[in-house]
Amino acid sequence: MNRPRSSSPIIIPVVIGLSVLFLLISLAAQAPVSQGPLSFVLEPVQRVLSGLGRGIGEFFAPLGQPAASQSRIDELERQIAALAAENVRLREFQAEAQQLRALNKFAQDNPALDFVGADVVGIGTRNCDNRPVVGPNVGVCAQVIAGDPSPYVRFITINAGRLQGIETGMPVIGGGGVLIGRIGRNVSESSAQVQLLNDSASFINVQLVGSRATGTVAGQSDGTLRLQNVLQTEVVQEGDLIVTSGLGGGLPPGLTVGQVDKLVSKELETLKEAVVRPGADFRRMEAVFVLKFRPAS
Amino acid sequence: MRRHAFAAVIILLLAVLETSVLPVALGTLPRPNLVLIAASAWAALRGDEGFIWALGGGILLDLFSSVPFGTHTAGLIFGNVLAALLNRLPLPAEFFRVTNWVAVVTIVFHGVMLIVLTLAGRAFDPGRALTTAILPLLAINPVASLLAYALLAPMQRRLNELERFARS
Repeated sequence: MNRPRSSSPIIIPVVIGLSVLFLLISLAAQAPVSQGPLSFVLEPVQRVLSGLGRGIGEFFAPLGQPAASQSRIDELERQIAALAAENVRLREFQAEAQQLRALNKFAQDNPALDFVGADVVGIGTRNCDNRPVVGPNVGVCAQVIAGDPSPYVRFITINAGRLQGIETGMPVIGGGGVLIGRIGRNVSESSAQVQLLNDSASFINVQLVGSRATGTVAGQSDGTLRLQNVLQTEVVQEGDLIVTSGLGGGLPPGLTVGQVDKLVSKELETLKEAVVRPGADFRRMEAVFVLKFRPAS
Repeated sequence: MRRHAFAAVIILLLAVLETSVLPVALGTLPRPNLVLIAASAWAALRGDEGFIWALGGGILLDLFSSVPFGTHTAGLIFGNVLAALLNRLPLPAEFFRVTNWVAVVTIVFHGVMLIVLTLAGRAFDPGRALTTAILPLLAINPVASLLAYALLAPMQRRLNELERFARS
């Protein structure tokens, strides 16, 4: 039986040297290496193959569920997502109206004082960026064409990139109008990577629709979401809807994130923590919408 | 030269399959590392040429990934180096060399990835990584490498014959 041979004594040292060099430069520079113009070639191939993968996945899906019920389940899931999004919008309007009513009452109760109305755009940010906020039809629709080869990070690749005006940090919306993540640092000419909310390095500022309590939603290594940094004095209940707060200027306010699923913190702790039920199914995304919202630096 | 171009096309195709088809088709289930299997199987059969496949495949995976550039490349190269160093056991059949080789590379590949992600400041649960990725892939990758062996072994025998003919 033949053992594998060495045709040249320099090949192995050279490949080891190159791999160490790539890694050291990458870790030291902390800069992403994008596909660049190669994305023009790879994007159509990836789009076709991801369609093929979706077909394979759908072909084998009935093995887990009876075929007749699958379309009904899909239909009901779509309806639930649409109703949940509408519910969030209505509760958001209601909460906003309550706040405005309270402010109005305060102004009426204090007629001697002079008031100027303003929106909260950030906490602790020294320069507030007054670039246009998201408006209707300001965005790019894109198709999900790939996942990350590493099982330890949760990124997807979409077929929209620098040429479509995509920039790092822009919010990405999935089916049902729910925030699913943000554009990552790796943006090529015709594709971009999206960091999903459940990636362990993802971290966004949020607000509870009912109580207006603010906190953060962070991705966990097991792929779940956690509501964190909510003051113990705030009221957090299971089923509370969570939207982006817009604080820090990284994301526009009011984008649906999910619902409080289960409180996990104890009363003795200074901050509350809860498991979040995401508003989107991160495993089943085909098309997404990128909002052309430029995050404040 | 022609076989190197052929190898480049195969590795590119496997990298695209690994990133575009498998994540969509399998969702969160453990996915076989196609590039790892092909490059390691070729390294087990052909020696140095497999290292070049590993270098090219690693670079492609790094371009498709959001982890620090070079992580996949380093994992594949270090894994193959260790597998080559451990390749001293007398084996009853050639395909055992390939399955063992792929198993060693799988462990090192994922170990390197977790180390680099830790250095890059990412939090992860080692127990979860072991049970949801490394252990399932330690079963999946060597089994899948049998298919790679079935495809690559005849190619290797043909190349050996051609080289013998050229020498004589």
